Amino acid sequence: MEGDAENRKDQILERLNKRNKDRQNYLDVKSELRSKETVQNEGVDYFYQTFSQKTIDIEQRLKDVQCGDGQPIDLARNFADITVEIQDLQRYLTASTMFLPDFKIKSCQNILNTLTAVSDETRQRLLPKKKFGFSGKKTATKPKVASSKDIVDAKLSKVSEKLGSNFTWTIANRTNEHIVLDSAKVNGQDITISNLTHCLVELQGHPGSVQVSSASKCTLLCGPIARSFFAENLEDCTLSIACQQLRLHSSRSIRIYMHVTCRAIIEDCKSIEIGEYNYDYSELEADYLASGLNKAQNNYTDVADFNWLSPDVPSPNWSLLKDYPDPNWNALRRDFIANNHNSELKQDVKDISII
Amino acid sequence: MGFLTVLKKMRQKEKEMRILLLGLDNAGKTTILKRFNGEPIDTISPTLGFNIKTLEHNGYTLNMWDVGGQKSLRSYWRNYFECTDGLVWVVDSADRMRLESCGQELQVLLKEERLAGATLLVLCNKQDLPGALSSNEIKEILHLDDITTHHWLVAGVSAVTGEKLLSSMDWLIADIAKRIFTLD
Repeated sequence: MEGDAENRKDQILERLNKRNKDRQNYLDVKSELRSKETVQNEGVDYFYQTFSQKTIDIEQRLKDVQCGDGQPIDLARNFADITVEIQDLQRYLTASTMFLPDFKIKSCQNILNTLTAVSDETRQRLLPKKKFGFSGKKTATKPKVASSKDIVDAKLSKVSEKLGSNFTWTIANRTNEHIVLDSAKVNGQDITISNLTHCLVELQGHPGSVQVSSASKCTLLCGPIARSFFAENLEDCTLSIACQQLRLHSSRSIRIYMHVTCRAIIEDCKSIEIGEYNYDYSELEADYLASGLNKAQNNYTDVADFNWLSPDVPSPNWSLLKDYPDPNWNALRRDFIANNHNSELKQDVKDISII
Repeated sequence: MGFLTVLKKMRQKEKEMRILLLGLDNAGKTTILKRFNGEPIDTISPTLGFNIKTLEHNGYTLNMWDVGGQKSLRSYWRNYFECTDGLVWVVDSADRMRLESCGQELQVLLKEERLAGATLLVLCNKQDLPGALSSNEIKEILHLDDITTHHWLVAGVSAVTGEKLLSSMDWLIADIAKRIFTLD
């Protein structure tokens, strides 16, 4: 009896052990499989494979749709399916960006964009507009965007009106004038100049910054500017400028005598000639000190042209003045005043003759 | 634990943020970047291309991208939009001449899909200049109150004196941190 019981106990124990082992084996295999799967699913190779496979699938579907002449309803359903597939693929790419290299993300995104474009284009071609819900949506959004932009534009123009009312240029809308601002009006100020024709402007002091917009046939002589000089839309002008940074945009035929402690740049400019700063007036030295510009450092020979990015070939848009006598500002001032006087006289004469 | 989760955790641990500095040319983007990084600001040249600075601040690693604002470079701005957590729009407060185009460029950026999640910080720079518009005036001119798509803040700063620069950057970092590091 006892032996029999012992025997049965052993049998049961053995069975239990066996079952336990089986169970553990099964679990091991399963967990191994699972870990393999997740690693594979998040591997770069796996992504490439899946992504390209899906791309091919979608392309094939698009082709099928184009070849077959199905009913509009079928077509609409097909297109809806394709759109969903493209969206799924987009989601997959987005979710995978964490482990993909930048370049791959970009190229995959490009593929997706082309797919979307092709699908949209085919849909537009194959489906009459009336039947198609999405295209209606699309055309509806477009004018909306435009109108919101219009609102923005309208608001912005309102702003400029508002700005115009409480903003005054330091010097604006002058012709044939000799304008001199002394240190009291210039020192530490932002000087703004706009719309001058045939003027001689002298800023004798150290401004904080100077901005010029639209000037032609003008001469601008300026004391040391603490920060930056910014100019756009100049034509046939001569400038004598000392500053930290100089930026010149959309201008042509400009001669600049400059002292620049950092660097000068030009953009959309033609025929720019560069020489060394030589303006002089009684407080120039003191103004240099007050502006904080380093008189010993002048990078006027190193102008960057934003439209000319080749480092080996020099930009054709600017050149250094060589073997050219320094201008004599005093003589120029004298001539300007004399000529101006003459031209005023001439104008008077003309007026009389008209009368 | 899959690769994706490992990477997410790593990013979380590093507390890294990508911040894009944009604005018209001559707004002072590079000066702000250098001032923030504690570098000398008296030898800054107009940016031809871009500058990248990685710096540690308040326990976060900031990748700061400063892209030149020249007209010819603006079309390249979009190359830098991807993965941007914060956008710093720098305005030259004294440049009334171009505030209009400044506003237009900003509107274009706000419609950009890839910047949709980014926090916007508008810095009205050059407040130390006598002719500078206040941050309130610029807020009105740029219609910042109409922005509903982004978290935003406008601040009058001066890169030269450093005025308010740090506190506004702190706001930006805190706002981004709230979004990407606690919700995860």
